[in-house]
Parts: sequence; C-alpha cells; structure tokens
Amino acid sequence: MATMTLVAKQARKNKAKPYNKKQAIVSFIKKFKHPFEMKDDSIDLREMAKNFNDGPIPVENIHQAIVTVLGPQYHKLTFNYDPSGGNYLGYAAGKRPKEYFDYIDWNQLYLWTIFQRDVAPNHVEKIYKDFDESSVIVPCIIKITLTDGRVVYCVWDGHHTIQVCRLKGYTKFQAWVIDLDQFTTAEIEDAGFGDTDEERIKFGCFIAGTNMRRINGLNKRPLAPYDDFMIGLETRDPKFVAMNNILAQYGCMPRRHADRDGSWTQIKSGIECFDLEGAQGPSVGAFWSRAIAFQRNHWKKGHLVLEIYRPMAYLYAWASVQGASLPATFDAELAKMLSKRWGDAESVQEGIKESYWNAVNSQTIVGEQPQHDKFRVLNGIINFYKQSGGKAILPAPTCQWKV
Amino acid sequence: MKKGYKGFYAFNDPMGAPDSKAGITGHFEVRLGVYQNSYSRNSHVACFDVLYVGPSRAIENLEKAVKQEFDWSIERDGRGHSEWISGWTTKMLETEIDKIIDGYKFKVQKVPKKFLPLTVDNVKDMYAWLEEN
Repeated sequence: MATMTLVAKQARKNKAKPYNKKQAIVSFIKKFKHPFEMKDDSIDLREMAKNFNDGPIPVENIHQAIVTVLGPQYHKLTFNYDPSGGNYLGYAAGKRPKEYFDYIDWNQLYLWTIFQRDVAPNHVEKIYKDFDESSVIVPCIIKITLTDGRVVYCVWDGHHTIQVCRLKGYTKFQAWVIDLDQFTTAEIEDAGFGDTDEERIKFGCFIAGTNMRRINGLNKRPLAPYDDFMIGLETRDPKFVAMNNILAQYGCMPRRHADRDGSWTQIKSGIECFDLEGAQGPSVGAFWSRAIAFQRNHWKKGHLVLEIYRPMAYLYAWASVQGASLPATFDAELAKMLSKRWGDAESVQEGIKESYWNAVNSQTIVGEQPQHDKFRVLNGIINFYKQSGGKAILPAPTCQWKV
Repeated sequence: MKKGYKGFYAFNDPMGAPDSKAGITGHFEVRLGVYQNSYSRNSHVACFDVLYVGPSRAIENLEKAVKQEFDWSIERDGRGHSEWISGWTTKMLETEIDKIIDGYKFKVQKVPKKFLPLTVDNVKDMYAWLEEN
C-alpha cells in the first residue's frame, strides 16, 4: 500500500495541475475568515460583507471573486485604462473624447425612432409618481451633426426618465453623450460604413441602436425577487421586516438558493402567504407564520419546503374563513402522520403530488381537478388527514382521492 | 435489491487519506465492481463502510442534504471528484449523517454493523435482511 502511495504522488508532481473551478473557489474562499457562496449566477455579497464588518466591500475584492468564478481565461485581462480624458483609448490629442458627461438643453434633445422604442405614457406616470431627484439615472444620448448642419442630441436610453424630468420642471438634462463628430473616418470605415456625411449618420444610428438593445435587452439582468426582498429588508421596508421577523423566529432566513438549514427561497410565494386573508381580513403573516412553525417544529432540519408551508397557510386561511378552529394539537398530529407515511418534508409533498397524479391517471379522482400544485397538495393533506383517522374538523376538500 | 429502494453509502479512502466518498446506488454489486476496477483484490477489496437504505426518493433527498451540508469539504467538481469529502473519515461522517437523518426525518434504515463493510461477498445477505425488514 505504501508503495502505491509514493508512485501516485510522484506522478502528480510531474503534471501541471489542471484548472478546477470548485477547487479555485474553495482556495479563494480560504483567504477570508467568513466563507461565502460563489456560483455562476451569484456571489453571496451579503455573506462576503461579514469579512468587512458588514460594511462596504472593496470592488477589487469582488472583482477577484468574479474572475475566480469565470476561470483562468479572465485572470490576465485587467489592464489600466482611464476613460476620463487622460489616458483615453483611441483619443486623439487636441480633440474631445468620444464619450463624455454633459448637460443638454430641452430644445436640443431629439428622439430618432430608428433606434428608440415607442413611449409609454403610463410608464412616464409610474416613474413620475415615484420620482425622487436623487434617483435619476443619467440618460444616454448621441450627438449627431445632420447633413444640413444642425446639431441634435438624440436619446438612445432614458427617454422616459427625461420626459418625467420635464414634468418635474427640468430645463437642462444630465446626459452621457456619445459625440459622433469625434470618431475618425478610419473608425467609421472599420465598422463597415462609407466616407460620407450620410454614412457617418448611419454609423451613429448603428452605435445607438446596438447600445440600446444591449442595455435594454441582450444584457439586461432583471432584479431577482431575492435581491428585491433583501434590499427592501435592509432599507427597512415594514412588510419585509415583518416577514423577516417571522422567519427569524423559526431559525429561517431568506436565501437565493436552498443551500442551508432554514433557507427560504420562494420570495413571491412567501409574500402570497403573508398576504392571505382570514375571517377578520388581512392575516399580516399569521397563517404563514403558523405554516412555517408547522414544518420547523416537526422537521427540525432542512430548507423551507414551498409545497408544505404554502398549502398549510391556505389550510389555515380556509379554516379561518369557514369559521373552523384548528387546535394547536392538530399541527403536531398531522405532521406526525405525514412524516410517518413519507418521512422528510420534501418527500411528503412529492408523495402527495404523486398520489394525485396516480388518481388522475386512474380516473379515481372525484371533484374539480386543481390547476395548481398548492391546491393539489392542500386537497391531498385534507384527504390524507381524514383517511388517516384525524379528528379535527377541516375545511372540505374541493376534490377527493385515496392518498 | 428491494424494488424501488436505493442505498446511500460512504467509504474511507483506501489509500489512507482522511477523506470519504459518499454516493447513492440501486445496484450495489455494479457500483462495488466499478470501485474494484482500480485495485487488485490482493491490495484492497472495494467496500461500503456505512450504508443506509430506503425508498429511492428518500435516499436521493438524503444525498442532496449531505452534499449540501458538506459542500465546503467537497473541494473539487467533475467526474470522480465531486463525491469526495475531504477531511472527514467515514466514522466522523456517520455521526453527522445520523443527525441529518434525524433532523430531516428521512425514511431510511441504517444497515446493521454485521453487514459492514459491505462487499460483493456479503451483499446478498444484506438484501435478504432488507427483504425481511
């Protein structure tokens, strides 16, 4: 055995270690006291921030984390480039940079439909109603000298914002300007356009249109429900604070992935449960709280299982609306029955759904078939409880089958 | 093997590193055969040092939970690497797996010590025990 070990180690020495993403990530994380998740679709910056006293993280550290995830082909890409006019790529001495920040007068602003979408008045109104001067994102504009000599500043991103600003009385508009006049003929020809004023304008439209699609379509990353919740929570949105308090009560926390004990990942469904109404009106999380307690009090480990807490929240809501009172002993009794039959919480909901589809396929289901898993599992729980000899009076199921 | 059942196994590194390999299978002889491929039987007999059996779904969910729990100790990804848990002997691992099973209430059975380590030589005895239980 000892001989085998020596031979194996020698063989490893002679070979360059191939890149392994997991190993690179683990090695990177070891530089930090507090570990944090690093995946292709997210680096957990909130966990990473714990290495910086829960305060701001240097972007250089985040950058190093990003290139670690992206792999060795990105490790040597960074070089020094100052776009502020000093060390400017393609900048010819004595000329303005091709892009710069400026303030533009209202009467100089134009919209050229070649590279812009239609305007939505209701979107203008939506922004107007939620307007704050500190939240104006700098619109993007291309400066074009037309063949008749007029200079126009055409918006290619942020048109709705500009219209809202005008409603708010703005007369000058901050803008990030691409100055078409600063491009050399060679640059325009390299992009496949000719050496005439018309071709220069077509080139400008090409840049603006391509950038518009890049920013609003191709490279747009919508705000994930998790990020929306966390930003709302950390900036003290009262509803999200209340939801987080409920989670914390049962050792749970919002997470992007169900990667640890107590993870809650289905943000929109959680909000749906929080908002359920009972006989007395909005429950303000009362049913959701009890549903989480139902899972956590019986299944001590694991992430929150959507098709456990959601159907249970609905069960409590239905019971409340129908005037049924479900005693605390009911929760423990039902949880015990479910785990005896299927075991862990995921297997419970999977088992109920499996029995539902078996009944559908064998045409042994009676009543209207639910169109959503939450009501399939909810009906399954009610049927199962009754079939198992449960004594509490539950709301009537909307469909019946042998679970 | 009992119909619809699978097993979750773990074994120590046969070369002596304090690491364990964990995985699931519904075909014990085949999997043990794969692990035997690299060694002469005179050096090492492929075996499972701990083993849990149960319905496929429960075993699959158990594997997910264990991989999640030990994510930081699984240091490499890729075929052949992603099941090695570094710095955890099977004995250490067993205690943690028992806690996971208890916390999640996985509906699985622990294979008794008398069948362990499980090898191709005693796998049929374990099957017989499983059928009776």
